[in-house]
Amino acid sequence: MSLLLIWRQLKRNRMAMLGLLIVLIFTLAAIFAHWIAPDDPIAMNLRQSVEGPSAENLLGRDELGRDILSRLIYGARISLQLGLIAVGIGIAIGVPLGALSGYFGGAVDMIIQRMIDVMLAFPAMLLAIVLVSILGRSLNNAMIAIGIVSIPVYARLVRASTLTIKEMEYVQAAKALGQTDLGIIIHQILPNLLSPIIVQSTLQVASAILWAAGLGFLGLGAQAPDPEWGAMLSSGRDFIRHAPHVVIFPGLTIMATVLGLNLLGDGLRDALDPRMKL
Amino acid sequence: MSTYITKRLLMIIPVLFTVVFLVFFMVRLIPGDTAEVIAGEQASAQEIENIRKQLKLDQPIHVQFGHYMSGLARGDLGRSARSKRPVMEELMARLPNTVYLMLAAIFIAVVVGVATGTISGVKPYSIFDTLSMFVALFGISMPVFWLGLMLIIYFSVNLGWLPSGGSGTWRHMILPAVALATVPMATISRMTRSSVLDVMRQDYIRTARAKGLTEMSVVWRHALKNALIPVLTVIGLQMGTLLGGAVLTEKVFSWNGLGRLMVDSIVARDYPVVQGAVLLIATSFVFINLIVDILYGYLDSRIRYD
Amino acid sequence: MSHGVHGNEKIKVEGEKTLKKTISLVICLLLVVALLVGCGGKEEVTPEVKDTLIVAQGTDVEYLDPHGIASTPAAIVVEHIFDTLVTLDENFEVVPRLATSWEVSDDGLEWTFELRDDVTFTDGTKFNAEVVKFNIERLLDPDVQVLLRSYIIMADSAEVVSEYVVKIKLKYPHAPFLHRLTASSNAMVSPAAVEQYGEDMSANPVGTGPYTVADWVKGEQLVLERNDEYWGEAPAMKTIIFKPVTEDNARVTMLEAGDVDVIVRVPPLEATRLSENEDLVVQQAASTRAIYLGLNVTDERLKDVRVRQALNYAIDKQEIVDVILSGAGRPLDSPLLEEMFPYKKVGPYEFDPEKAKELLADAGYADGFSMTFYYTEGRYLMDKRVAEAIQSYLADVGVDVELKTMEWASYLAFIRQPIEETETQMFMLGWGPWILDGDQMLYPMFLSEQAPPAGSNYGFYVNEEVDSLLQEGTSTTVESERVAAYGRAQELIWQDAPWVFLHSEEQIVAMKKGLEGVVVLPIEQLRLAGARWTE
Repeated sequence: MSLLLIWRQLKRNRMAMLGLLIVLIFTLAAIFAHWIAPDDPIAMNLRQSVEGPSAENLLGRDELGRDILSRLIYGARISLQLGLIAVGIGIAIGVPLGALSGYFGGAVDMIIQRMIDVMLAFPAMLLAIVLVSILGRSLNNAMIAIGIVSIPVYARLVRASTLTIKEMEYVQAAKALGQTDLGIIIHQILPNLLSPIIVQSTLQVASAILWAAGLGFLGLGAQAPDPEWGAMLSSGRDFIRHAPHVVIFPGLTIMATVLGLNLLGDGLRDALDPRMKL
Repeated sequence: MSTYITKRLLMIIPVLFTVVFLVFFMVRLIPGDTAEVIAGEQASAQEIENIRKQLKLDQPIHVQFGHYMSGLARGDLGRSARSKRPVMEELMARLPNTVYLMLAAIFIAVVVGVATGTISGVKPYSIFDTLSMFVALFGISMPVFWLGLMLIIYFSVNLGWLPSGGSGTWRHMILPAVALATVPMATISRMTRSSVLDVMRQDYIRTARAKGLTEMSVVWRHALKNALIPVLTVIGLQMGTLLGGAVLTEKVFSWNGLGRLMVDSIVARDYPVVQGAVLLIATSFVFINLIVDILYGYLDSRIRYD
Repeated sequence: MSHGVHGNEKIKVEGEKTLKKTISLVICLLLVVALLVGCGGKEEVTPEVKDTLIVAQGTDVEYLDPHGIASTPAAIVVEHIFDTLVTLDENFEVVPRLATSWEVSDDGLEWTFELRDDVTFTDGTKFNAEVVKFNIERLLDPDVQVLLRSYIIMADSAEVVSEYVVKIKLKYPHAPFLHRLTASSNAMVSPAAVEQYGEDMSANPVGTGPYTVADWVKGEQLVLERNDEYWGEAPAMKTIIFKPVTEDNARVTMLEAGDVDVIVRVPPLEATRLSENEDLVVQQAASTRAIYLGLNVTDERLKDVRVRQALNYAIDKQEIVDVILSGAGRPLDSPLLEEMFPYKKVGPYEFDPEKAKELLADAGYADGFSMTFYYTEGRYLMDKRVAEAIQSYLADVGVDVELKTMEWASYLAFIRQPIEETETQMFMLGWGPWILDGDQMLYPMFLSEQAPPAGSNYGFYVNEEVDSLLQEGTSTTVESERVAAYGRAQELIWQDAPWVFLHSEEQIVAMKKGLEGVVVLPIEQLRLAGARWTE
């Protein structure tokens, strides 16, 4: 399906366009944080600790008197980057595993599927917690952990699609023409998997952001003073009575971003493959 | 069908063995060990060595593993490094709390999710449908712990209606259960909606209508029953999300459950408890998945296993 | 899901199937409801008669064999079930408990205690000199997990002089020995119980104290009942319930809602608001917990004393205490705290960024330098915020620090590395001794031979004069000599600045109005035996 066609499909879906708009806003904020943010995200100002929203600080100041809006804008950079890289890791490992599993079947399939079963025996959040504990607390390690946790999603998705695609005539034809297995996987099968992977990835970035926030909340994410959204929520918790804005705004931001990604993902799914509707 | 179940059951054994193996080595890869933690910052190096010896952490790791496995074979999960109590006792003190919390969450999710989903499915594109879809979308986009904090701000701090933490009474359960229920509720609602929509288009519904049944009984007696098959699957699939969410929810609400025990034990490097908790969670998780698959096959006999 | 088969047959089949489905579904739902109802039935009824006290602690009590404890919440509970030989009173003086009087030999090596003759353990075992001998030997037994063995390690053996007189011999003269016996980890346990329960001793604590354990649901609550055979004054409260509530805010809401009577570790932010509540009383007390920034003096830059002093001048401790701790602390003005013996005020380092810059310039770091600052979160009051604030202060004088958090266990392992392997530069830690003798603060932290892995001199500080002063202070039993030696040591340490001296924490306890007799000791102890309701 051509990109243009997808775009036309997508354009008709108002919810998806809303999602796209939200995602665009956050992406732009992330890229141009330096120019957009009204204040330095880590400049402390103790005497103005937890001041409420005002004309000067639209979303107020946090527990160390830092401008919350600026921190959220810089935080977009962390969260989007984290989501993309984590999902990249998931794709880089999960897609080949799934393709091999589905294409070769037999023993390869058996082994890979049992590996996936083992990973799925842990609830994702718990596995991520254990992995970050092992690797040590940092943003990079949180990314790696979330990436690993999302491997099974891709492996399963790709395996299922590969099973169908490999029976297709053109794949059989390529085989008959003497193309190698690797060649077939790369040239015939993977291109056809692009749309489900894109759809899944949009939704997966959303999950990754939520997981990262959860890890940040448990104190397993970014290092201070990085304005990671989950960590902001976590440290704002002490002020829940005095200055709820410290907790409310980061939460709303996470919600808006995830909502945008979910809407866009659903829209893409409809546009790419109307049958895949949930 | 029965060969399928046997096959699946047999596959569980190597999976669980690998889980045990992985967890055993993974927790030992985490920097810092039990002895350091229980000794605290005032203990001397000598004392830390003593504790290592008492906990048998000074033995080679394969010996420790053999020891653990032979205990496991006898159904002995070992003793907690911190409390010196049998791990089983520690787990059983928390398991009911987590189970209650999850059941309450599932109950809320199913009742609300199916109800809203059905109404939306019967009257698609109505105001109610659009509204509930929006609510559902927000529901799955919120970090569960943040929702928990918001519920605390509103219901505990501002209104003072419900306790903000602790476990024990049903009043303590409401807020954490609602927070935990949100994501599955949203998913179930959307799932119900689309499957009700699907079912309502079927011939037999048309036939039922033609027989002069009221809309209400058509929906209730025919549509809903069929629409619930996929919902059941969704409930099963949500178990993982629920368990993961339970870790965070239990923390926000100081709920004395398994998730919190596990996180606390990881922090304290209480290896036997972490191992026991993960094994318990993984086992129940694997079985839940199996049961869902089987039920699914049983309910929807179009799916064949061989 | 599409059910594509058409025709009337389908309806029939569907009908049968759905019946089964409905039945199973109904069963499932019933099960859920039953469990919910079953759970709801667990609700506790608070008795109307006011002789019950419910206390919310910040962490769960893990272990109740006194000899094996190292955590404050456990010590608080232990103090209500067990007795030590001597104890601290409200004025922080050492007073008799199970021992009625004592004397020390001239060489400081033999301590003789006269014991009470009217004390029985709750399992019927008589308390006497044999029991003390048994306990001392158990505390010294390397096969028993004694985490705070440093509080008894100087003891060599115990000897029964007569039924109620016991003589404890020391390996070397140790002036603070009496203070050490006040530590909760040196409480007396029943030898018969040790014999009977072995490893399960913690689940079945048997002591001589005012309370016994009636019920213990891990992670949920620990119920103490009054010991009616108690040798001392009978406590007013029949029941004390300890509940672990880890979230700070949850404890506060529970107190406000009336679910609990006393809460510890009130977040400083909440203290003001709670004290404005007419139904509540807030008690703020000093603690022995000192928070400091350890400096690895073997680091190229930190080995220069001017740099270390500069760091001390660069940080506004008062502002940290006022704003971040909302006043629940005091800036340090000596390596010892005011409540400790023998404290001498030698500071503070006033906040003076200009002076800090000068000192740095003198040391050749006019342009500053960068460094890694390690800390752990959630252990000390507002620790993350304190760390972030320090980073910001240091940036103002040109010292660029990168913050690195580690989880407690990893952190401990990290700072405990010996000198050849250490990677520390700057690290934040707290130290809260369980006794009020300054020895437990100065000796393990500043003596050169206490460098890791041996002890807690994590920054590898070496000053020979300090070493000999500390040795003198710990061994001589002449009080004036101890005061002199420790006084000089405090001065020297302060000038050498092996730490950035930050602040000491204050403990905030909040309780319902009408509750009297709750004692908060600086060693983070909460004594409830004298508590009673007045209304």
